[in-house]
Amino acid sequence: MAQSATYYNPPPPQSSSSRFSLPSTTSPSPSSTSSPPPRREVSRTSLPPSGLQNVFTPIPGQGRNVGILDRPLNKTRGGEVSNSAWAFLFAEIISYSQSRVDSVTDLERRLASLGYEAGQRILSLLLLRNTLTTSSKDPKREHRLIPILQFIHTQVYKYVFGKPADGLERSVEGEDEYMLTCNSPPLTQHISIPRDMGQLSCEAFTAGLVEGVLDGLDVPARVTAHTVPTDQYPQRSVILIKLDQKVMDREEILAK
Amino acid sequence: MSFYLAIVSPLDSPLFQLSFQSSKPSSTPTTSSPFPSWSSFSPSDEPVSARSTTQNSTSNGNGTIGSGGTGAGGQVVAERHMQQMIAHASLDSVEEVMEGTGNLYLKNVDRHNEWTVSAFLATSVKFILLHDIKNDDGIRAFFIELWEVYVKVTLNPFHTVNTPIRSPIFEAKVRAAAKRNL
Repeated sequence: MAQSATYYNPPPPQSSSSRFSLPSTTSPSPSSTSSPPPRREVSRTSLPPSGLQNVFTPIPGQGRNVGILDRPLNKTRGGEVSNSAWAFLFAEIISYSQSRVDSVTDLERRLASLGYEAGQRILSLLLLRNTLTTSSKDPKREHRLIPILQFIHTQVYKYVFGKPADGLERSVEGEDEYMLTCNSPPLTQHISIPRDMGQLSCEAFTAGLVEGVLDGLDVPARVTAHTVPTDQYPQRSVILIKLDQKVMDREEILAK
Repeated sequence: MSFYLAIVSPLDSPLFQLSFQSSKPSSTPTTSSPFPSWSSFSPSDEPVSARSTTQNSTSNGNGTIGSGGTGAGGQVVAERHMQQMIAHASLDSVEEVMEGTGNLYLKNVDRHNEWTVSAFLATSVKFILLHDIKNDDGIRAFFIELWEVYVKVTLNPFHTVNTPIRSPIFEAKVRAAAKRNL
């Protein structure tokens, strides 16, 4: 997934670190400027910070490491994670989750909650990058239902999976149900479900992701994943979006 | 020219708050407010931060400091409570406005005495800024910079989304962005 790339962005090369300018400003007297800075100060400034502080501050001793708040958010070329690396990671995620649940429903819920976390972050990152790259004065988001769903269908899917979803349609059963179909979902293409877990769809992760994005756009919904194989696409999966009544009410008002 | 910034979670709990002064001189004060500035919480000169407020409130409780100090401290505390109240009371207006627009930056959604409230929807969380001058472009630029820093914080896997942000570096970044734009 391309989103993970942000964590592994190579820090930009920095010629001088602010850490090294510290001893010279605190040098005791002008006569000793040529001598190396006192040993005590060097050891003081290079003490490793502890705990969570680590993630926000550059770690001393690794000269080029920059705190996460200083790194640029730009999308880097070649920052994508390869499919095989993701497949390994996802396999581990599933077996880890499976050892901690009792039922298929629980497992799906766990995967969905992981996807939800990813979805929340992907949405804000995507919107921010769109704003920064177009350098538009007025950052926007979609606020009507259909554009939101189209935004997920094309932009989010393209960003996460490299290609838009294959279909977006409204369910025949209810006004508030929409379906996102993917003929061969890239996340789960190497997974075959054992016979005794027939109901399981590992696309629950994607469902959670979609739910996270929808929630970020103020569209609460219940999102589930189902495998609906066809002869041509044995792995075809459907993400079923059941919208909250609040959304339908709001759409009705806005449509006027 | 004082400002009060609050980051509010989708469940309306405060995630981060900061009061700060602008370095720039006041160019266009909001005179459009129908109220005279009789309110008791007129902006004071000293910067108010979370730490100084706690210090003030505790020292007031002890009653050990002189009368002048107590007065100033009391005013700071009252002002802070007022700012919090205005910011959170404006959430209703923000939610009303955000339903009908796709803009992330909502300017002048609410007003209370000399304070004007602007908001920014960073997807689920809301940034609420109280300001007493008119500076739309500066505030928009400030919000976008703040958004970028906020996204960087949330991308950190060790940060749980919608929990209070306690990083001092984050606060420093926010102050720097405010200094540049406001």
